[in-house]
Amino acid sequence: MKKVNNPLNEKEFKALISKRKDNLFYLIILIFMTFFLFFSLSQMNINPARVIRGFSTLSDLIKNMFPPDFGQLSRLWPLAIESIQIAILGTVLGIIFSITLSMFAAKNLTPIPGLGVVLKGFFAFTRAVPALVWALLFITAVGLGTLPGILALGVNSIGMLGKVFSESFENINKATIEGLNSTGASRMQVFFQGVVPETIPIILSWSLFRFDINIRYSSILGVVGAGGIGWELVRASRMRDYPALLMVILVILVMVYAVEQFTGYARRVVR
Amino acid sequence: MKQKDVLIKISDLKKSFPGGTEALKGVSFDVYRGELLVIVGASGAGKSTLLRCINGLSAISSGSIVVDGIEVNGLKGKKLRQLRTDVGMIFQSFNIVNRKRVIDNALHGRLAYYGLRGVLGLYSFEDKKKAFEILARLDLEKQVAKRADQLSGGQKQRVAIARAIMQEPKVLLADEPVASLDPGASSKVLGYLHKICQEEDITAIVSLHQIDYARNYADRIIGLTEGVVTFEGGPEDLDDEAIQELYFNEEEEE
Amino acid sequence: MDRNMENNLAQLKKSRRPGQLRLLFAIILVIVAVIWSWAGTGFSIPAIMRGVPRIYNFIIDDLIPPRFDSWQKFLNPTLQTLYMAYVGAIFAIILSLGLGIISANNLISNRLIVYLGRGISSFLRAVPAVAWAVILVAAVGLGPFAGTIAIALGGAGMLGKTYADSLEEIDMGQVEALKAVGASWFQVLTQAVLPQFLPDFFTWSFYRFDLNIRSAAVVGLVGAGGLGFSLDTAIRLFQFREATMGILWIFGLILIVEFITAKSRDKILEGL
Repeated sequence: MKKVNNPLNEKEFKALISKRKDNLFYLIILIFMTFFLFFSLSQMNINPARVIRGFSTLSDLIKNMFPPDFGQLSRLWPLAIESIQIAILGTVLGIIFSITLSMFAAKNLTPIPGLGVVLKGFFAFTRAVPALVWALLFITAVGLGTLPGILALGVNSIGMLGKVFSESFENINKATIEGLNSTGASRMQVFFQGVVPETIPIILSWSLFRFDINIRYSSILGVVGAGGIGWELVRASRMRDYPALLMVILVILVMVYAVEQFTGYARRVVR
Repeated sequence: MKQKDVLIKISDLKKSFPGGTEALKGVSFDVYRGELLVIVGASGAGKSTLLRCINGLSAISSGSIVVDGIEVNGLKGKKLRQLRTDVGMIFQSFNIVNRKRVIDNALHGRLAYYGLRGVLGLYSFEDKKKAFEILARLDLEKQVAKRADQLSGGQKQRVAIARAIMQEPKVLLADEPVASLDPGASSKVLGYLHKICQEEDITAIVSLHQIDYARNYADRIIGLTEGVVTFEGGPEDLDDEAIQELYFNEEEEE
Repeated sequence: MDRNMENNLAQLKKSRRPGQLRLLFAIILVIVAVIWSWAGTGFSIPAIMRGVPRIYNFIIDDLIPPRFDSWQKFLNPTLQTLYMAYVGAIFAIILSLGLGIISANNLISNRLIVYLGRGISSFLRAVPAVAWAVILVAAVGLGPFAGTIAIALGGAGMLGKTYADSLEEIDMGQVEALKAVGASWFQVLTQAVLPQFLPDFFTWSFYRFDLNIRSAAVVGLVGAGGLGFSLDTAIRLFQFREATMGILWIFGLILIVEFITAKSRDKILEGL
């Protein structure tokens, strides 16, 4: 039986288990990141004095918020409903268009090669531009109100859903498609009888997910005038009506939470 | 020459789980210093629970376990951690940290002797040498710097053994150490375990459900059936009749 | 034999029914919701129809070509957006490490604390970053200070939850083994818990940084610094072609950052 007394000499042993190179690398990265952190802070004129001052003004503000102004509820409630409705329409719009476009964007389904790449680029673009910026654009085009909000959410949703749907279309079993094609089915038929059934769970769960996201965006679209409860946030803040501000936040919280619960429940049912 | 020096004294040990299950219903026996004691029994007989009571991973409901003069029942906090440094344990699923290297896993055995340096993984050179030496005796010197998840099951269990040995424990508990391994790896690992416990003069308590291994490696055997000791004796006493009683007790079916 | 087949067919029909029924119910629900929303918001297709040529004209006449010569105007705001996103991410990560650990039910035995931790994350997450920005601008004034905090808070909400979820999925056996060795709670945390947590930690943290760039670009619209602020100014002054330039900057920044974080994340995950 073996009885070993360290066959390698001390130097070799140290070299074998040394983590010095790795540790040095991590340390350098950490130093860089810390440096950049303080650099960024100084570029933004954030110093300890300002932070302390900020803390005290913030706590004053929070104290002034209580108790929340429940009288505002009758005004805020319809606006919250409006935000929900904007989110619903925006999501549905997004779903319809993204499914349609994904049909042409998926590599295995598209009639014109190359169209897929163009569409995917379009998806990336609509996804990258933030929803609020879309809202601004649509406002200048169709005016203030709920319409720009709906369109903004819809377009933004197309970006995310289009990417996910086209990818899931591409990932379905080739054999299924071939089987259907070999029966002489038309493109439409292949899509609805073959592709859709396999991808319905994905479509449903991502649509619910997007709805959840859209309700959060919807609550702030009003900030730029695209409808919903967002405008009340700015109004209360400008008028320094802090109890009202707290009320608006509470209403938004309830709204978001309710939708979150709903989508969570719905996603479980979908399984 | 066998020492009849009692290392662990278990008296009327009872363990019930919330929900009502009585895993141990009054177990009493002694563990002698230097022996390799095997606990056999069917699945659910209470072998795991028994071992886990010894180092406090399972809280004792009533009764007493005295390990080298220290009562385990009621031990908490720092004192419990101190006890655990004297009790090594290896598990059925190895429980080594897969993302860390073999040598780091072995060094974990010394964590209790370090404070902040242990948090950062900075061990003394002495300990590193010791870890290497133990790993080499377990034939793992070529895997020392490899990540643990690159090893086979048998090798992983040997790393776990090394970790336990690094604690310089008085007793080593092995909870179904080879249940996840194929027969070839199993006998290898048990062989290593036996050998190193002898070399380091460590008392071992091994729970197994394979009778053959029990017979081959045990100095003494304790048989557990549904939370009660139903057999106590040497491997030669474990005849077919005794096995029948242990494993094929069909009377109480729920 | 026929009766057998009849039975089987009946059973088949029955088994399809709950699934189909549910699908039907869901579709009806969606249609009702759409109609309700349609009425409530005064959504009108004619308005869109009228709007389309307006959008078209707007784009052709006012938005393009972007004023490339004004590109310098957006350099500083872009950098500021980057700073905000970075600092916001760092603070969110640090905050969320603590928040995540206390929200993990396998690491903390006190259920009340876990509940509290999860609650705090939920709360921070439910309020959109822009809403936080509005409040903070009222408190600490205009500028990137408000924006950074807003981003950090929203980010902590998301990371607090995802960190906790990841922590709850680790192999507790490894934790037990180190407890059995006599290690302290802190040692168990760093030597058994964190090594398992690292891949998810990096994935989610990088993702958060990506999202932060978007948030940072947008909070400026309420005055909290960054590109959003310059964009808002340009639009108010009807300098639409400059605004387009600003949007291009946003787009460019997002793409570049996404690229870098994707590469860095791949590299780090490889090395783990």
